[in-house]
Amino acid sequence: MNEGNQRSEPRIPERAKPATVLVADDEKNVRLTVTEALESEGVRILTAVSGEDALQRLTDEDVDVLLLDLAMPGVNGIEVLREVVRDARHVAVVVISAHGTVARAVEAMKLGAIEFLEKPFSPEELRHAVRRALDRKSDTIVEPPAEEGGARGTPTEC
Amino acid sequence: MMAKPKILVVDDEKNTRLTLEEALEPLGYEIVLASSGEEAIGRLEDPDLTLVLLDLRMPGVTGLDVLRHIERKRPDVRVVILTAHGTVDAAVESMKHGALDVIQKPFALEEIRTVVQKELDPGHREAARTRDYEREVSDARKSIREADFDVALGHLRRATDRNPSRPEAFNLIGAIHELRHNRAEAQRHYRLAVDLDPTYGPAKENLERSARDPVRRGRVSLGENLADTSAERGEEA
Repeated sequence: MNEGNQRSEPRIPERAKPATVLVADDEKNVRLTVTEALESEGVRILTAVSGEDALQRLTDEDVDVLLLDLAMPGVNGIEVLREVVRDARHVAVVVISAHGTVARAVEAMKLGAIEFLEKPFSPEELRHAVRRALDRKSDTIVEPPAEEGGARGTPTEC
Repeated sequence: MMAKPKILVVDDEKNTRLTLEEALEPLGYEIVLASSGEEAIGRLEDPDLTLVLLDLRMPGVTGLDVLRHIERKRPDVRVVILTAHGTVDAAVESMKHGALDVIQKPFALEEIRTVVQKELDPGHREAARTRDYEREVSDARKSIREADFDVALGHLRRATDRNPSRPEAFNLIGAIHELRHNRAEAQRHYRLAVDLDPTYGPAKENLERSARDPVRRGRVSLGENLADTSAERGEEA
């Protein structure tokens, strides 16, 4: 990737395909707002209207970030979160909740959510949380700088 | 016989400190008190402390300040937050900085006893340690990708403190050495990682690649998402 273009710092390779964000919320307005807020981020956005729907999408699709409402009828967000953790899926979960309480937030964080956003949140807060979530997902590869002629000039220490 | 687990209670309200002391001492814990964040940071010099009950809202050095101090300097110490006017934000922030739980005041003493006993239970501590390890490793990967190698090394040092027998952190330390052109140190750390877990692919790849073709550009593997390995390792703890 980018061969021949010698640079002094390790580079993060471009993702082969855009990251996928799944928005699970039973409120249509929230799904729309979130989708709009993330349009500029170059991510693929999927939506789910319920917990069951979310679990199905997680099985069918390669999801990087799950934006998860807690209060959904049927399978609620906490149950979805438990399933995600139990299956050790490669998905970073950001909870979005209208009726956030300390107890719920702590429970979600203990279960492995990496962020808990209270509704209403600003588009910028949401984008920030999604970027952070994508950062936490590990890309696997970094290219080291060339040892010869690297602009860093860091001496090899032994 | 093992020494009594030592618990630090940090709260600017005297009543809370005394109530907690009275509730926990009979369970066989040694209780140390601090009435401010400053005092707590001094008490944290004590290597025998295992758990801190920490009030968030204190004048001067706040509970969150103390929590950050613990995160940096005493990653071996478990923290349970106590809060009277807890906001969701403060609770989430506390959890991000490594608190194990947040208990809202007024609390029932039974609740405190249960949480403390649970956190000091060896099996539970092991699970928490694993979680902390994974967070440090994940933060380190992010710092490496941003070329913040010193920050990454800080995370990795804390990761290896928490669990010196897993390979991921050593592989990443090796990766940093390699990115800094220190191949001998890089290979030493890759080898350490492979010795710890001969099945850990990223370290094997790095070791083979760096031995095979050291001068040419190669690709340093930072390892898989940890969710995988922890699932495989579930029984090891």
